[in-house]
Amino acid sequence: MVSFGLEGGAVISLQGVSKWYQGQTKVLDHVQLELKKGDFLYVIGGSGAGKSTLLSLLATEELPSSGKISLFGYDLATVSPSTLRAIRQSLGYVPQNIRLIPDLTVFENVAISVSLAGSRVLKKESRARILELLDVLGLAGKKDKAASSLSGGEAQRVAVVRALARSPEVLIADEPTGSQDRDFTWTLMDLFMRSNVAATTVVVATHDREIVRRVRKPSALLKAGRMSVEDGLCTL
Amino acid sequence: MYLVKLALRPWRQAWMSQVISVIAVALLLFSTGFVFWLDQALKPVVSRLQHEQILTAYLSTELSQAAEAKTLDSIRTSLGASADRDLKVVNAEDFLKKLKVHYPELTRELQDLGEESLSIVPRYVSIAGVFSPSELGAAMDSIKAIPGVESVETTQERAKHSLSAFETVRWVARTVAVGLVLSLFTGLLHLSRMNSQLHRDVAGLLKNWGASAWTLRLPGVFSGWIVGAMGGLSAGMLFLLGGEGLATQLRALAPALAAVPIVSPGLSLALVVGGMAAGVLAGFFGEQSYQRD
Ligand SMILES: Nc1ncnc2c1ncn2[C@@H]1O[C@H](COP(=O)(O)OP(=O)(O)OP(=O)(O)O)[C@@H](O)[C@H]1O
Ligand SMILES: [Mg+2]
Repeated sequence: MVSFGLEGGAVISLQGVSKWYQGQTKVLDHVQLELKKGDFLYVIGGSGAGKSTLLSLLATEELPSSGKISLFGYDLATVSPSTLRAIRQSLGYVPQNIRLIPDLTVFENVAISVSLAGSRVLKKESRARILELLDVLGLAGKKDKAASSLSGGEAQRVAVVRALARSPEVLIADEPTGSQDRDFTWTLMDLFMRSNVAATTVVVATHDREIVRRVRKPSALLKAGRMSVEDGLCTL
Repeated sequence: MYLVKLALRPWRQAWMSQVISVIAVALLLFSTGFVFWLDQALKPVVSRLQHEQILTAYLSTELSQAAEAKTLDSIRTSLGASADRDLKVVNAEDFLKKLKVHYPELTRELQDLGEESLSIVPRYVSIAGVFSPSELGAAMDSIKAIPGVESVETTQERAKHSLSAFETVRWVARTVAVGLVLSLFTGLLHLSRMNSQLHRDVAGLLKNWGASAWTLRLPGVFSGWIVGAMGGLSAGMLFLLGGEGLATQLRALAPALAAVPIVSPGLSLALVVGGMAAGVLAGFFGEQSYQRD
């Protein structure tokens, strides 16, 4: 695990971040955001509001069209490739479109993500943790099944395990409960909260208002690319 | 590692291309091996033609028995003490004997000529051995100057012809080998470009999890290695099985080719290693998906 030595500093910092695609109106418009170690934030908003766009910027999948994004104090536009790698190794990202590797089994999908984050050879503890997470999410019996054979909800839970098993410093989850029934929704939220208690910074995008109501945490509303505070506690 | 499993993806999604590539690699490597071997096999043949000469000194027919012995002595001394030169005197009787053996149909005519035949057939001294080009000229000049020697001939002129033919074959073989190696590599490179497109999605994913550029190249390198190794093994097997026959066929082509060696197992091994190396290199340089941001 990389130590960024940023006790008290912002883990995630967005300054005037805008994003637009060729010939389109702004998907994100001057977004300001600052999250410290151990913060938790919901990003809510209607379909097409820009939630996934924001999260993919946080996951270093894309660069903003203007403005500045810093992770662990490093400006993503100017960071060196090796530091960028180290940053990426400390992130856990659950993309909305899941993206499992279909050629690999469920266990291998998780294991490859874990081994890229830490030691090349999977440690005993890591293996145990993967199996435990799979078990909690009702996937123990599927661990040797091909990822391509899973249902949408199962694949989504594997994507969550894949992100959590690497014990990330920042967890970015895009509609992680989108295809889940109520039971699994609360199990997933419980896992996120536990990880957050262990000082992981968590960002969850959702349009499920019930989650936000029942698991009370700060939330930010995206509407036509502009961000506003829905429920305080975080600096915008 | 799990990345090895990803390297097998091209075999599931584009297996025809992989199979055809393996066959192409096998044939190209086999052909490369063949022309390389041809070049090597002709080396001793060419060097023999270049240096092994037969000098023939024709003695004048009027030479008396005693004078002939003197002339032969002079030839011997002029050649120096080199032991590897084989001096053979062919007198009229020997010549006639040879003639009868090789051309039995002439026996009659020779009998009709009787004693007269001895005076019209040549007497000569043939000297076989290894001469350097300068040595050869000097030897010819000094032998020509010896009284009783009518003329001197060498096989050099005759050898020149086949020599330049063999040299041309060697150069063509080398050019073809270079061309084959280039097309082998380009073929593998294009295959690996295509294969790298097949795991573009995975490369993007791994990259976002913090994989190094080296790690991202691994599936491509493995895919390339598999195709190169399979092609190389096939080509090597072909040579192991057919190499001896090839040499036999070539030897039968012309007497000058008798020195052609058989194909060594080392060449088969080199083809396997070469196939693997080409596959790995092509996989390494053909993998482009890692460059995506
Ligand atoms: N790669 C892209 N190219 C062009 N337009 C894009 C691209 N990605 C997103 N968009 C546009 O940006 C807008 C916001 O998309 P985004 O996926 O961020 O919304 P969202 O809030 O996640 O919606 P949902 O709740 O449906 O997932 C949409 O109008 C979409 O068409
Ligand atoms: Mg979305």
